[in-house]
Amino acid sequence: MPSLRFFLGKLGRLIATIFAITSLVFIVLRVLPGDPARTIAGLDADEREVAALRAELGTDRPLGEQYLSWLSATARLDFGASFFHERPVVDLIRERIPLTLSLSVAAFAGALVLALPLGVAMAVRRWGAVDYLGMGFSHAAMALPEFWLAILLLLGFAVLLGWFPLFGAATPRHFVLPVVALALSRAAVLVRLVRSSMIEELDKEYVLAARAHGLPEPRIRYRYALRNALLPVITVGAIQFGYLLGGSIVIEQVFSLPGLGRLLLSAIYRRDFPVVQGGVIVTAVVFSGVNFIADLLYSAANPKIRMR
Amino acid sequence: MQGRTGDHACVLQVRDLHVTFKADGESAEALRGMNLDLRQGEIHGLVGESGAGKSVLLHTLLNLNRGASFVRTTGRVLYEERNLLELFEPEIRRIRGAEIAIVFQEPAKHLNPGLTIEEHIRDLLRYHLGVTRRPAGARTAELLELVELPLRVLRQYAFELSGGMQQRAMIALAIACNPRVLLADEPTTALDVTVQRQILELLLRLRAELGLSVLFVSHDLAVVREVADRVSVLYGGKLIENAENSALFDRALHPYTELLLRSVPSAAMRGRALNVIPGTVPDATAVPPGCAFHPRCPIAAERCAIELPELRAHHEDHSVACFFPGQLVEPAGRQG
Repeated sequence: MPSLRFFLGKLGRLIATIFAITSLVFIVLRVLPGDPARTIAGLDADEREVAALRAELGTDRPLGEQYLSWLSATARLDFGASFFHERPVVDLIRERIPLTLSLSVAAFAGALVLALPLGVAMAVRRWGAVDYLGMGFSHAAMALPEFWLAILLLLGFAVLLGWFPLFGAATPRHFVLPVVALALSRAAVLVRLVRSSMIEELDKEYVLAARAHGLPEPRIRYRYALRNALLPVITVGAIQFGYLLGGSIVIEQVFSLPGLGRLLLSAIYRRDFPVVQGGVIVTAVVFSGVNFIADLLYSAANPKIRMR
Repeated sequence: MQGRTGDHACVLQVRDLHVTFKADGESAEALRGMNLDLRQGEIHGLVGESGAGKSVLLHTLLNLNRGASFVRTTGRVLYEERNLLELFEPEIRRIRGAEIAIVFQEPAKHLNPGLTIEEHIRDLLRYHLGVTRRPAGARTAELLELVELPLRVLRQYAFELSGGMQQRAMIALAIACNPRVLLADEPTTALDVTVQRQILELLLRLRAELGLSVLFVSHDLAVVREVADRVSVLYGGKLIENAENSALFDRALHPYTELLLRSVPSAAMRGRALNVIPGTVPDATAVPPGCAFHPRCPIAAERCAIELPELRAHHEDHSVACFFPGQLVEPAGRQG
């Protein structure tokens, strides 16, 4: 197992990253034009009403003061209440996180299930038919914007064929198309990485040695070569998973899924500072957490690092 | 009488072996009609400069040639009355590592960086002998004892071991399934001289204890002289001389062998220029006609550039492929 020092070092960096991201978001939100008090009060409200609202929300105080009180509240894990919903931010996020998270996990699992065997098959028969098809898929899926792919899927499978519902999150069937849209784009990136990493491993001497020892070919591919080929995939995979968490904002919009992404998006439109801040903190924590786990996995899978 | 030459039982026979590769669109014959007998229980040294086809031969014996540049193999590799080159993949796989095992030159690269030594051995026992977890433990311990490694090595990875220990681990893998034949591809070349000696002694001891027949490939004449019972010399993809160890080293018949022996620096030659054979090993895409060595040979005649000398017995148990065997005159001063 990784040493305690390694672990604590990673953890320290993780906390620093989250702190930096959220502080940046706090400042950017307030520097950008747009006044939540005016948005709430409406266009025809008079100055007095707006000023009163500002005082109520606390946005009339100096920036430094706001920052410090936000910081001390956040340190106590108090994210405040939404300006609009008049409910605690924590509740709003807690309601929406399961959807976004399961969407991301399902899409990531789908991407792996597609990318691993395909990447291996492509590497084993380099420049063969499977390789060309796989490369074609990868190029196409990387070139297509996710939302467009999503719209195409909706058109084909929901509108024309009617196999899946158009929008909503009522049943598992509602999630098939969004998961497929997300998974295809992520698989496009991962499959190339698996392929090139596998090609590199298959050319190594230990693979020749394993063949010379008479081990069966599937064993050589999956247990010997793929295991080592996965090391770079772990790191990139974590980034891809983080991308899914953020990238599902667009997909949630296209499929009208009530997830964290849509909550954030509407909060940004309405300058609902506490919700945006809380949402960003949660996303940053999950993203950094995934990368942290990937680092641990990487060192667990790589004896050379583990030994240090 | 297949399987025997003279009075000696052969475990492995190579007959008229040709191996063709493709290099830059040109076809290159790495082996050009190779014949070789590996006798039961002997250590057979195979000597040649780099590019002579030594590694290609070992890969071909196990039918491991593949990849885009590989074109074809013709000829026969006879083992237990079967031509290994004609076997289907599942059949040859049962022979690889189990009956004919191989030890490579650079153990660090040929061991999987993600597996412990124990996992390596277990895989071999599992796939060749169907040995399950418990008995495998006893066998792995026994193997480590045979190659003189401490038991802790089992849980270690190749990169944690020294070069000598890595090579011992590699040898443990090779003998794990009790093979009859051991192919050794420059097993000591990458090692320190002292470690080299230990590994050679280990190989000699294992040969005696396990009754292995060893094909020992090396470019190092001193090493071959020390361990081999018989020696074959490879040049331009063909055997050009084959004799018992002492016969070959005392009286080489082929000019190439003779020059090769003279090129080994010795204490007696201190202060004098090194003897080098002029020219280089022919490229496999452009092997000269006739005797492949004739452009570099000091005693080449017209005939050598046209006709290909066959390997034939010069006197008992000593074969040579040359029209003028033993006629390269010893330089003055070598005897004294």
